[in-house]
Amino acid sequence: MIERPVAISIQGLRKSYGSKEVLKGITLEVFEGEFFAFIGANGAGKSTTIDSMIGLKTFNQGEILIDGHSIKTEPIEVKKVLGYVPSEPLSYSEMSGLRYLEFIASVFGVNDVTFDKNLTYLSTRLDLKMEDLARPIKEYSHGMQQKAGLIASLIHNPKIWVMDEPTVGLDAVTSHELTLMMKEFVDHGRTVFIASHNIELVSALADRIAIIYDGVINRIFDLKADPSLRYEVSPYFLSLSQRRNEP
Amino acid sequence: MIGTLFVRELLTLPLFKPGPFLKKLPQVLLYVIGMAAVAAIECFIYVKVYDTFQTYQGVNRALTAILLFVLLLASVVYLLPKMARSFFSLKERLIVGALPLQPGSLYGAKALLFYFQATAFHLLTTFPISIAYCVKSNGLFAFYIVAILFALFFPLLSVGLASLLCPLFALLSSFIKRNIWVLLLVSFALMTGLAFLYSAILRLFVDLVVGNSLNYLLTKDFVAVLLRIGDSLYPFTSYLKMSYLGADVLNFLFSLLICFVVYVISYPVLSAIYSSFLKNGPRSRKKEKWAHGHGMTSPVRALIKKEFFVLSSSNEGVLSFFSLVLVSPFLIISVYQGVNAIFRTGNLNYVRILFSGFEFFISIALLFLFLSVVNGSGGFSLDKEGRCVELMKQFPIRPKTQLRVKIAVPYIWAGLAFIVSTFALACLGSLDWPSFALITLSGLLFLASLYFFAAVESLANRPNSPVLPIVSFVAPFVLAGGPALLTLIDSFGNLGLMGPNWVLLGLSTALFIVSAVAFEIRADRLFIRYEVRAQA
Repeated sequence: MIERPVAISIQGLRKSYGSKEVLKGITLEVFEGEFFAFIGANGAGKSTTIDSMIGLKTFNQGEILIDGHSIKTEPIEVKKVLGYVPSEPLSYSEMSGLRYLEFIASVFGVNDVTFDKNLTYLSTRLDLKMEDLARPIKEYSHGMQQKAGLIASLIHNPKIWVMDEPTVGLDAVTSHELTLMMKEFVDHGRTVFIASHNIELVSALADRIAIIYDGVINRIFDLKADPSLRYEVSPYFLSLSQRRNEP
Repeated sequence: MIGTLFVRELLTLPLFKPGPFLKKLPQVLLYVIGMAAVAAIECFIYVKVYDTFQTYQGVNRALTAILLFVLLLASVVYLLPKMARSFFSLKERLIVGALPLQPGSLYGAKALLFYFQATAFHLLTTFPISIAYCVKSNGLFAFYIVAILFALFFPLLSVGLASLLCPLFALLSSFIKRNIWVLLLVSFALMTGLAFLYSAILRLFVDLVVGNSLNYLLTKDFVAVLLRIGDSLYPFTSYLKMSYLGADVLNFLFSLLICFVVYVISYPVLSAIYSSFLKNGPRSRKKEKWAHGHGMTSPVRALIKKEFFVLSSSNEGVLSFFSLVLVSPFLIISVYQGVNAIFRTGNLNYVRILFSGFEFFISIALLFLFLSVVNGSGGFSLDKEGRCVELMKQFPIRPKTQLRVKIAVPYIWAGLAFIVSTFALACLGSLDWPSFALITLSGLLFLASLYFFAAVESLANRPNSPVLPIVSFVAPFVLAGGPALLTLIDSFGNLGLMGPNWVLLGLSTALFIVSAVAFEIRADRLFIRYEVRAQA
């Protein structure tokens, strides 16, 4: 059996906010070239896991390796290979879209040629017009801000694309375009890690889906190995949620 | 409904925000003391100037009328930005636009609040002047009642004028904010104007305290101009004439009517514009053509440009930091020379001669306090980034590098302004050149300490920590007091101790080393742990 390189490795991740333990020992591995989805109820710990992965938050216990680098000891190396899309669009909203993207690209060491090429390609695919890029981001609609965030996450050609609810606020056409882009990203041997409530979307695209419940990984569905499991994801997740809501 | 909405508006004011009374008590006391101080200084200057013009018939009334007119303009300037922010807030529009509220009720509540704010302004400024005028001119007792009436009607004129100008002001400020260079230019012009006004008032104040003659104001031409202008200010002169027996009451009532009419005209005008704003939102601007980008740059240069942008894109950054920094040389020179003039007269002069080092203490404490106040207003704060701190954490750049850039940008501005200030003081003879060099270096070290401590405290996320207030407001006195005390001891004992400037440099260096070490040791770790505070 060929050993697949691991893009993301999370071992025994524990995180508490004060006395409340949110993550109780998350363990999972995501392979290179894999589309990995992460689903769970509100407050289950999806965003906290992602925040810990990308270095936004510290964690109490465990180890996280991204592309073979530890987020604790080699954070710079980790951040070079990551492209992140938060659930709420985040940018320097007083800047114009173009200026903001130039800033992000400069910070990631992108050169002029690559920037122009990537910007043209991404703005066309995500339908963010050049006239809009000249305006301040604070004047954008929520969907446009999300598009700017998506472009910013890809402008430096990351190896691992981490997204937290990326389709919120996007129109149907752009949503569809995004799913195509995610597939292409994975087809080029790169890795997608997505947290989403959209079970239909992730069931259709993901190679594997992990369900987080009560701070631990409850189950992982390997849809690549057994595509028929796609139809089990939603009922299983709903039954878990019902169990959670029972007194 | 208007009552409920009015209470909602009132609760947005800092003084009325809900919270434990004991916690708000210091703030309330500070307000009261501040307001009392303003009224007291205002009356002091007015009475002294009144006495100067005592010999000229009618000049004092003209002067008072001009002063009331200036206060009217000041009240309009005070109200305009508040009204623009309140009536043309996109954020509020999103909230109230969806609620079943009549625009008229919303407008009425806001109008009521601004009337109360204008009344408070005039009770603090116009009313004390009116009372002082009546006392000095031996006016009728009834004038005190008239003054209260005027203080209730006059705000209608302020609010009315501000309401008519408010839409234009909102448009203009929106335009200025979109163009960073225009914003910087306007802020600089505004601050320079205020600095010159401040230095003129300070000069007047110092002359009055020191007992200098104000005869330079008593020229024939100046008096003639005063009389001409004062007599043309009809509403104010008719009001002031009410302090005399036989005054024309009808004239005064007519001037009250003018105030009322202006308000009544402005009410529906702004109300209609506000309703339209709530319904349709702001006017859409022509889309800009796509501008060519600036091209890629190195990560550190990109960070520097970003820091400059963040600092200059917020009103706080431009108005309270950049502008203050740019005019701080004028302010420092004015205050420095003013204080020196005060301490060279009367009993304070004896204290200065008796206690060697006293003058040094006052001068240095003043200079360093200036640095604290100017840089405290907008120098370094991670809060300015807001949620964008999460962006900073994603960059593949060492946290300490990002923080050093964040500190360096405002520090360089503030440092240059300080060098200009001390250089100007040296050129004017207030400092000798060796003192200039040592004091400048000490000031720059103190400034760097301020920034390092601010960075560490900001990262540690401890809003109630006393470290920064102690460094900002106690350290200047300690840094100034140490050398001053040594100078005093030396003067009695002739011990041949080191000069005060060298001691100051030593203390400043020590403070700098402590702050730099704290930053170097803790910055990376604190940054990684830093989490954006939840919005209230």
